[in-house]
Order: sequence, then structure tokens, then C-alpha cells
Amino acid sequence: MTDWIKATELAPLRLRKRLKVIVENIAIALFYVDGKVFALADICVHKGSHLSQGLVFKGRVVCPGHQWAFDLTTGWADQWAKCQPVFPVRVEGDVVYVKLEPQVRTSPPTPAHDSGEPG
Amino acid sequence: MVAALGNSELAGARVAASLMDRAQFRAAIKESMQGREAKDASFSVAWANGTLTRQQFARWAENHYHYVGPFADYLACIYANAPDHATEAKDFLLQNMYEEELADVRHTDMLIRFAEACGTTRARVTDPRNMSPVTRGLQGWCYATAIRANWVVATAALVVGLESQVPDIYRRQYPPLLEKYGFSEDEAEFFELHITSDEVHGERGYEIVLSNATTPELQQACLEAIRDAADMRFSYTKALYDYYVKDFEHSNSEVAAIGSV
Repeated sequence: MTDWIKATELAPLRLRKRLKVIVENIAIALFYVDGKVFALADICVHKGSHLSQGLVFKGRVVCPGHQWAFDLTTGWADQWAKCQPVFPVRVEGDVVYVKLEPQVRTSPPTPAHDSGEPG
Repeated sequence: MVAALGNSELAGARVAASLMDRAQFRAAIKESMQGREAKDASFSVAWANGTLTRQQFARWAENHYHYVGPFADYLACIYANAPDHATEAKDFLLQNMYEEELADVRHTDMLIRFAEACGTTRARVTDPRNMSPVTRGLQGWCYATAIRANWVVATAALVVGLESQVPDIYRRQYPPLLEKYGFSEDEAEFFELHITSDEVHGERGYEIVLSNATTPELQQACLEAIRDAADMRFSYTKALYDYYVKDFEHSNSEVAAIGSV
């Protein structure tokens, strides 16, 4: 069980909407959407592009490399049935914390997403 | 709020009894493409059946470049015609352009990589003299629609009518490239990419059209534009068969006459 680790101040993420952070040598892509924060592994599981350079569309981050679309909450990509690791994230005051416990699904999420709750 | 309704495609549109809701309109869009999908055109069928040659794929690439190469141009024209208050729609158009051109490897460079694996060259692919008259017509229609049509109608035509068909086409055509024709995954990356990318791009197009076709007249104009677009893509794909497969001798003499491989 790992601890919550500070990833960034909230302000730059709120301003830029997406931010790459390095937490204990792990690259994490943070997204700020509709007042919520989401954390996914930055390196795409498909061919290694950086999700932090991707665009968000309908609750999914679209990888810049091949436009795989990963659900921000679960990391699941419907089109290819693959999962991008997601990290638990929470916001306290003006600070974003993550837990270095990546969650990877092996099957599609149920309609009510039950993991990777956004901060 | 929509752009002025003075465009010819609106004047000629059938007027529905009432405005369709999003679900009804989406269903009507799907229906408008039925029976016209390019995946069912003769060149697509031959492709899926494993009967094409690398030389014929090279001719396909030399044509396809001139249809998809200017796609960001088309979208830029629509972007310019969209009113400044349609911020989300404009952002979606810009996002599609960014992903086509700049987000990673330029999509047309992947197409050229495939073309080179088929034995043709970048110079031949980019030379507009190597496209068929039907491809030239498709490219011209795309430009004319993007520039002259109402911006929502143009989005319906180009992004929904043309681009959203791509995943269905390439889902059928990508596996035989590896299994029957012997291309490597790297050489065929263009097709794998578009199974995913045009699903996203097409969905952005749907979102623009569903949200901004806010009158019965505009909805009908969009449906007609989508039908036209599907017809254009079907004709383009069928013509590839007619030029380079059915009339193979003709295609060889044309190739010899223009440029050098």
C-alpha cells in the first residue's frame, strides 16, 4: 500500500487542462475536465506516444499517435479492448495527489465505472 | 443560431414536418448512407477478397493521396465559415486537423510509406497527374462543398458522409493486408490508424451536426449532403476498380505515359 504523493499544484493543471508530471520516475498524464482531475500513465500502451499531448473528447483522452481513445476514469479503450493504467487521484485544497498503484482492467468496465475515481 | 439559409443546398432541401431530436436525426443519418457505403464498392470487395496486386494498391495510393491529402484544407474552409460563437464545433474541426497533420506522424506520410511498399514513389504519389478523373472530381467536390456549402452541411458531407465510413472500410481491409497480401504491420500502419482515428473524427463530426443542425431545413440539407458524399465516395472507389483492375491494360499504359516509377 503506497502513500498519497503530491503530483502538482492544482492551478497550472486547471489552466492548461492537461499536464505531464513525473512522480518517483513515473510519467503521469493529468487531466482537468469539468472540475475533476484524472491521472493516467503518460506512455500509451499501444505504441508509446504521450497521452499528455492528447486531446480530451467525450470523457476520453485521444492519444496523439493513433487516436486510441481511453476512458479518463477507467483507462479502457473500447475500440481495441485494451487498458491504459490509471492512478488513484485526489485533490486537497490546491494540491493534486496521486497514489502509485496503477490499475489496469482486463475486461470492459460496467456502465457504472467502479474504479479510478477522479479527484 | 445557424448561418444564413440562402445556400442552394438549403433552398432545394425537402422540409421535414418537424425538427428531429438527436436520436431520430442520428438514425436518419445512418439510414441516408445505407446502400451507398464504399466498403461495398467493387474495389473494396476485391481488396477484401485478396485479389488485388501490389501494383493496383500503388495506383490506389496515388489516387487516395489526392482525396485525403487536402482534408485539413477542406476542414480549414469549414472552420473559417463557422461563426465565432460555435466555439465547440470549431475546436472539434481544429482537433481533427491537428491529429491529421501534427499530433504525431503526419497521416499522409503513413499513406506514402504504404505506397512505397507497393513499389511506387513519393514523387508519383504526390503528382496530381496520376489521379483518375473521378478522383479529381471527388477532390473538387470536397473543396467546393467545404468552401460554398453552409458550414454545418459541409461538416455533414465531409466528416460524417465521407470520414465516418472509414472505420468500417478498414476493419474489413486491414486484416487481408497482413494475412493475404503480406504487408508488415509497419507498412500497413495507415489502415490500422484510421480504424481508430476516423471513429473519433467521425464522432466529432456527428457531434457538430447533431448540435448545430437546428432547423428541419438544415437537417434535411445535411441528410442530402451525406447521401451525396456517400455516393461520391462509392463512385470514387468503384472507379478505382474500373480504371486499375477491370481495365488493367489501360491502367498500365497510363502509368507508363505519366512520370517514372
